[in-house]
Amino acid sequence: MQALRAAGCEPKDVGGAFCCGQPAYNSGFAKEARRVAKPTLRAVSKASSGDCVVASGSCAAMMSHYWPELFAGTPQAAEARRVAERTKELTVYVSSRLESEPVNDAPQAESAAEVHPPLAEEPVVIHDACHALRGLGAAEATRRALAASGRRYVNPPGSERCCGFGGLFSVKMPDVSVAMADEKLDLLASTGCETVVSCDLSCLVHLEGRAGRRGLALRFEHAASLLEGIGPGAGK
Amino acid sequence: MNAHNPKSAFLTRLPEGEATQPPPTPVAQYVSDRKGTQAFIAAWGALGGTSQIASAAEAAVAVKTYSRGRGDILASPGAVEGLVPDLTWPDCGRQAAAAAGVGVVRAEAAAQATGSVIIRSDTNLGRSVSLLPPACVFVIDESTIMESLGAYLRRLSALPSQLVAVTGPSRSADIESTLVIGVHGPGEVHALIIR
Amino acid sequence: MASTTATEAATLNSFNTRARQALRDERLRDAVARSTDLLGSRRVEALSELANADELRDAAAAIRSASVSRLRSLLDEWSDNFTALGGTVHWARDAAEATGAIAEIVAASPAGPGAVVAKGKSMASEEIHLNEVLASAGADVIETDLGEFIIQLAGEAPSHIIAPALHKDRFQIADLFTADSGQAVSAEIHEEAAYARDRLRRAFLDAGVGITGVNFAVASTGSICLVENEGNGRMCSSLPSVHVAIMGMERIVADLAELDVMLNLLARSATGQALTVYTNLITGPRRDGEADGPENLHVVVLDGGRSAALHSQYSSALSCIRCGACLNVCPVYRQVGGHVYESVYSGPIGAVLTPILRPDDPSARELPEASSLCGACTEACPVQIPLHDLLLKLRLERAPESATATRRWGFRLWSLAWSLPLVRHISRVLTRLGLRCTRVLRRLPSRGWPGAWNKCRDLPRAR
Ligand code: SF4
Repeated sequence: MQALRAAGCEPKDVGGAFCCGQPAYNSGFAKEARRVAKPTLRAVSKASSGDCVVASGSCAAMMSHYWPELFAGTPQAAEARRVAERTKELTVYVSSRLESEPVNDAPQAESAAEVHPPLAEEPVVIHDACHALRGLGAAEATRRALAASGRRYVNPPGSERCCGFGGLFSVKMPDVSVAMADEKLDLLASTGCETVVSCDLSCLVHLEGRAGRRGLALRFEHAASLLEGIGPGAGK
Repeated sequence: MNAHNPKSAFLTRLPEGEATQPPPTPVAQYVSDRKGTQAFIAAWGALGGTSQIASAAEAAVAVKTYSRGRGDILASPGAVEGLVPDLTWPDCGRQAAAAAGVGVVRAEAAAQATGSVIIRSDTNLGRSVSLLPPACVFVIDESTIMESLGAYLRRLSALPSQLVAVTGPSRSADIESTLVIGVHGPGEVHALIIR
Repeated sequence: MASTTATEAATLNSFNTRARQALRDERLRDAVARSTDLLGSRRVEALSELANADELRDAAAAIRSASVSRLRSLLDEWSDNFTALGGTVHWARDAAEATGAIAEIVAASPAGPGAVVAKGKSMASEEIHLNEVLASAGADVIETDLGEFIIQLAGEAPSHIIAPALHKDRFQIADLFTADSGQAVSAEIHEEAAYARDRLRRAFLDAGVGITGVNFAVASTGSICLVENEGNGRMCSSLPSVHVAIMGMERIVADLAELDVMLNLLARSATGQALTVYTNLITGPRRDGEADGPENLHVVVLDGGRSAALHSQYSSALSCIRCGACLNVCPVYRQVGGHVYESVYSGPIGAVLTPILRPDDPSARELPEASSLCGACTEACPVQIPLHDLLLKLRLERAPESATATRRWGFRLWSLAWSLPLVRHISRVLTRLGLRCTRVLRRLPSRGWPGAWNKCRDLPRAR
């Protein structure tokens, strides 16, 4: 919300939006996915006819890529297609706003500094979430948005490799999933950065959970919280 | 299996398929700053091939010189004007051919973009000469050096029983991804370009 | 029903069991990571040498899907041309027909059923377990691709489409060669290659039959195209008096212009070479005036489950040209290597193709789960097969009936619950609460999915 306001929008919270159905869908349960996603679809399409901004890369991908298929042949088909078209991942959205309404970087950073504690100088390392990277083309957008927020960032080696979350993959094949996370964490840590930033909450939860267990001194932040300019620990 | 016509028994199970527009077949465009013979020599060299330019009159001597210390020369009659090979294919037989040091064959064409030499089974009395010896000399008429294998293929009308584009020396990376040259085919390849 | 679900549970555990084993094998993981990194980066570099790589990829995808959709007419045209040149086609609907036909060809060859058979690399031959059949008929089958030779000596299956012995290091290979020769072969790579060269050279010269795969058949000319780097494919198709090529029925293009497009991408995607060392275009057996080459040329066209796939929503998987690029970018393959898949094809394409080609094989059913759906495979595929979408489709089609009862009911109840506004509200509150008591919760779950998370990862903290 804060991030969107910072980018000059007037966002509106979709109260009834809850779950996009991805866990069931990716496990092969389309009917169940539909059941869970329907209230969200309703809520979104009732709330507004404007863009629907989603702060999680994989949910955004689910809604924009798979909802039309999920709801195909149901009464909600047209509705799902409309919402899919309007769905935007947060950093993509913010960065597209930067494009269409070019904001002057300096005042932007200044006003952020007025409202929030000054931005830390330490650069952050970006973890590209697969859905955002490949499905939504968000890699570039994340970087643009971060740059606009005045934050320095670092690209880790192997940045295109999956962190191993994959939704329920993380618990169906936990050993492989953790091995993937370990390699990713090592690559992220090799940059010397202490903060990992991603536009996908689920990757972060997975990586953070593993880093915690390994006792790694890495912090994990959603890109949105940096775009707000609010420091760590802020409520989501 | 339908003993009468196994082919139609097999094919009728496949969908008919609607007639569609033939797919596009764009010609590859290669990022390269060199052209012509020099481009071929560079690409061939990058793969580990050696080359030399000579006149038709010098060809036989060039082959002899290259082969010095490499063993017997194997060639079919008339492969290179004036060359008297130690072993003449196919009269020498396969066992002898396999013991030769250098095979000499006429190339049909060469491709600059990939550093490939194109040889045909109908111009060298078969396939063994360029295959069995550990070294091979490809005699290439400079005028046949063209842009790419694709350019050659797209222009081709009649095919021999075997057409091979040879792109460098035989190699393998099957052990620890480490490149090894000369596994089964020739490990030394020499392009003798006739101007 | 109960038995299906029980098997499913058992096999899912078995992928995990095998994966756990592989994950403990540091040597294997290093080898896989190193090789796939190398192949992957070379692919990117090689594609950058094409100014119109994207255009070629689009074209390659269109060419392959056009071929797959009109296989009947292309195969018809190709076989007419091929037979007119003097070749013989064998139409094999399944593995038994294919191996039967090849065993007959070997038996009828001048060298008879006990012939030395020099074999080049062929994934289709792996599908039909050809070697065992021929060996039991008395033939002396020897793999001549260096990597395949190594794993034949080891009694293993290939672990990568294009680098079959990627999982072995030179010390293991030295042991295999030493045992094979009865003399010490050092663990020096060039010496090992030299040993294989000498050993296999004898086989080539003795072989009565050569067997190879086919990369592409060309309909308009009746040709088959075979690409390789070592020269063993050329040997197998040139020296023995009989050459048998095995081809998956989908491996066909219309003409030489289409072949050109495919060749520009195949080696680049596979090993990062512009072209493989030998691009062999074979058009009929030896002709008059040629002193060598096979007198008899046979092509075995294998269905082996492909026609069923043609009629399904997975037909795009038949566009595959077996370049292995999807394996090299797959983060799951990277961690565990190919043998964990226990199937001829591993990696993303294996996880798609195996359950399609072997729908009745319960152990193939779990393979679509072996993916985080990250999409790296789809991005790398030169013929644009939507691999991760196909994996998802396989899950969607098969999960509802083949999943464990717990899982089925779990999703059903979960979805019913979350479709009720009140429950959604309660679970929001609970989540918020739960996120504040992770220290307590961490001690609780030890079984099932929560346990799988908790075993190696902390629970999410409040944000
Ligand atoms: S699926 Fe695509 S990337 Fe994978 S082997 Fe086949 S052609 Fe190559």
